[in-house]
Amino acid sequence: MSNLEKNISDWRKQLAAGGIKSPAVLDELENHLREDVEKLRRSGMELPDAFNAAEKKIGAAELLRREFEKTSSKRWRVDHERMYSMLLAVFVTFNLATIGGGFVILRLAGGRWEGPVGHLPESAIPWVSTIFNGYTIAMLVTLFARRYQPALGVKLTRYLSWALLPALLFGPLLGLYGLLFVDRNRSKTSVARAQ
Amino acid sequence: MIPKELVAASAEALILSLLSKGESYGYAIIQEVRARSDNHLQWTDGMLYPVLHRMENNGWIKSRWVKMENGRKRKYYSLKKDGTRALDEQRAQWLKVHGVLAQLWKEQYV
Repeated sequence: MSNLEKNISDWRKQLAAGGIKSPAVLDELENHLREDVEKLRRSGMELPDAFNAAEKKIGAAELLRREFEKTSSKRWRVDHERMYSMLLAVFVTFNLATIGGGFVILRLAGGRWEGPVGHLPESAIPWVSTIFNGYTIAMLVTLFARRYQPALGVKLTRYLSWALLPALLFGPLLGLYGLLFVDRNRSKTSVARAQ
Repeated sequence: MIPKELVAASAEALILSLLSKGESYGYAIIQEVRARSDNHLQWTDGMLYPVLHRMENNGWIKSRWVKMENGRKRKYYSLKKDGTRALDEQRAQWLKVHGVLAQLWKEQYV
């Protein structure tokens, strides 16, 4: 192995030890390093000096790792955006399928909802319907604002964490309540009536 | 030399502008920015790549590995439709900043 190859191999190990694990990223940085070394050598620099200068220009592993971590958190946000869009699709489909007919997304209350858990207390239906329809509209507005009015700085992740979670939990919890208590009472009443 | 904060702030606009002329790769992008700024705009070379990756995650640019004559692979970046839109937005913002400064300085020296 030539000096350059050994230097590059050691340098890659250093970067990996410093937290840059992705082979694709390491390959890309290595290509950059090689091109810079070649350029510096063409300008008359000796190999060890050229390598040291190029290595220094690329930057320290710790600094690079921190910058790449910021990129990962961005990727996380992009993934959240996809998840958010999927949830929106589920909500819209849900509304269309269960309420049925007309401009259903704007119909805020009074719709029929069978629910993913099954049985809801009758009195809860308008409330759950309102919550689901309200959130569907809020999600549409959020996505629209992020897409077409980025200057507003609508924060998708904050919205997801604090506003959407109760909606997702509330429906199934109410359904569970209906399943466990309301239906049991209904069954008891039916039995009593039969007797 | 331009301070690193300003270099960082202008990085996306510079990359988008360069890629609007055709696909390119990290090392060439850095060299072109250096040459066009008479060496006043200096990135720490490695810092370019997280920016490129972030822009790719944003859906502004895409990349592909190309095999070179020496057998090595090089990663080329090119602009996507959303990138063109982002470039238009950034161009408008930078021109606005430039316009305000030019106006102020013109008043100052008249």
